[in-house]
Amino acid sequence: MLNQVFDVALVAYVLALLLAAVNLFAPRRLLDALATAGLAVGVLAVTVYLGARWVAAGRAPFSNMFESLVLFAWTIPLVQLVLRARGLMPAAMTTTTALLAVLLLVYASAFHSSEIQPLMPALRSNWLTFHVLSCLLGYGAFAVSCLASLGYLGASREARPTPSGNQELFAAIMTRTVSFGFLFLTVGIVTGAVWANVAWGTYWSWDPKETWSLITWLIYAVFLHGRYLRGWTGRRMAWLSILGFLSVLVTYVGVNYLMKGLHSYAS
Amino acid sequence: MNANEQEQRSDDRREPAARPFDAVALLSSMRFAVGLVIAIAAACAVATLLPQGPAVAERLQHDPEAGRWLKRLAAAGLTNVFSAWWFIGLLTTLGASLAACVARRVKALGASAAGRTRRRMAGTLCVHVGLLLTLLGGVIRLGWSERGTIQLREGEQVAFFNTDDQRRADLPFTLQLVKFEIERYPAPGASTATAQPAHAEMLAIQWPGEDAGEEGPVEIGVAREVKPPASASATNQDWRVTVLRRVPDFVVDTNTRTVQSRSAQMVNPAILVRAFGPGVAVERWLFARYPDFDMDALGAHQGQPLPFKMLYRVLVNAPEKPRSKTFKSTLRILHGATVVREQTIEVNAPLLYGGYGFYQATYDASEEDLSWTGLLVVRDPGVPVVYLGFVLLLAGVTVTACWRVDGASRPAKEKVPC
Repeated sequence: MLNQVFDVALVAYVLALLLAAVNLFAPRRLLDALATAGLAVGVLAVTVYLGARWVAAGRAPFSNMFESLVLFAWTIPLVQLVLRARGLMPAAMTTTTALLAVLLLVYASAFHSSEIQPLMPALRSNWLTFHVLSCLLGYGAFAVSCLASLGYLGASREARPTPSGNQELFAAIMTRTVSFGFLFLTVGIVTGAVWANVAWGTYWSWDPKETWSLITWLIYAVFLHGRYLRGWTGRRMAWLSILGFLSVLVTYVGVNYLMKGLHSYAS
Repeated sequence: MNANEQEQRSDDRREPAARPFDAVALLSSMRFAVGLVIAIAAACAVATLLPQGPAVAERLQHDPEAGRWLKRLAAAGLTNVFSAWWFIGLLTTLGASLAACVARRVKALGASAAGRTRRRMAGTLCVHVGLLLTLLGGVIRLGWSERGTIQLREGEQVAFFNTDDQRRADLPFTLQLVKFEIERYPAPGASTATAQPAHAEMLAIQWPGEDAGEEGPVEIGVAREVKPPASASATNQDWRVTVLRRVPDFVVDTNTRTVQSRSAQMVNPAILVRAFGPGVAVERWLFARYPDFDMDALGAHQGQPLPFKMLYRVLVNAPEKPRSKTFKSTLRILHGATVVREQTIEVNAPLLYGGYGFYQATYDASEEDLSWTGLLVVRDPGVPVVYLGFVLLLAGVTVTACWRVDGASRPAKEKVPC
């Protein structure tokens, strides 16, 4: 049953991607609505999948790379849908979000075992749920922010020297998603620190994953300070958002494969 | 943007250099903070990319030639970044910068009118105070914490622990291990595992340019023909190999050159192989754990060169041992002969008593003697300060994020273009 739900999610995301791509070249309201609906069905299917896996495993399904990739394929479209519901999302971003979701699910199923594995002793903790969920919600928001930054840079090429309406929309998405992601990344880092203190008697040990999450946090802190205190706008913010997401990628994937540390089980 | 926000922004944009030297203005300036944050982030990134601390010695063992550049990195303080004076200096400066920001914001908060701006300012103030407390907690840890280990057998009691810097630190009470136990998950496929052989032993012949080589089972006394590749010369055609002897736990008497097996366990499995070809016969000991090392039957490492490489492989196929679910130690705290606390601890559930934390860390890794447990002992008076910092940080980030998201949704109302 689990596999079928996974397939439904993948098919829904693929359909959303195709419809959104067609909508890019031949814009129609119906196509846009259908693409968004496809994305929503995909999110719903991944929700059911994670819920069913949670019941089957008897624990939160956030303990290995496969599970976290599926969770990532849930958070990115979720952030996109929330922004869409609030009228803050151009149609073009449905394509890129759906593409990311498809790639994540395909990568998860192709390169990682979906078998439910028993938890190692250190991971048997309720902190796991709060820590991973908040980090991945933050990463999802940062991914959308990065996509908006790319959109901003693309739009700024076409609309020099005066900013276009699309640019303003992309800039608003950047700021909003970074604020949202920063909140959840902070929750993720704090819950991780408290958990580490409960498990290993130290809240911070400069483990590569911890260190890179701090680097990510600092980059987005600079983004928010620049935006709100100095009124930074435009391309500088877009590049900062992209740099932040590159740091997210190193934290999320790079550290697992390239550096030894307390989070090595995640690879 | 209302008048208070404009005032706040213009205050933040004020150039510190315009005044006579003002340390608070400099430390709390945005430009200084950004420069500092970039320096800290860069140092952190470098530290994760270069070998640090014990990893340096490990790297030297595997790659002695790395010694030259590692020495240069060490001289520059880049092999122990997180405890280097300059990194601690950066963090201290960050603390000073945060303190200056807090001082400035408290002043601004007192002067601002009630409302959304005041809430936002209170939020950012909380974030900065939270970070400051977290750093303060780190300072307390650096100066006043103790950390070490205890190994205890069931029934044993101790009133001290060995610190990480090899000192003996006394406890103000006695700790006793009552019981140690391991819980395991059910064995996967336990019914079929018994039908499998415990392990398979193979002898591979690898010609130059081949990746895996041709494998055959290890059979004592049975001569095996070596099939050369098509490109092999005529002199390399007629080779045979025979396994003469097999020992599960190889050990050699250095005086008599006598080879024996130390135990029946596959600790250091080795086979003696005779290879004979056109006018050549050599005998070699091959080791499963050390494929790059072989030894001729007389104990010398050098011998007659062969046109191919022989590799002894042991493929372990033993029934999979059930994974550990958790491991638990039941501990008692005693004052004299009186038991004041008894608690079972496991990973994620430590015993906290008298300012000390006892964490379940290890047990006998060989699992030959499961009556002893390894505990981590930590006394860190900075933890409550850090936790208070976390609470303020979360509260502050939540308040400012709500305000900011609200503000960002209406960029057109702000005068600064988005």
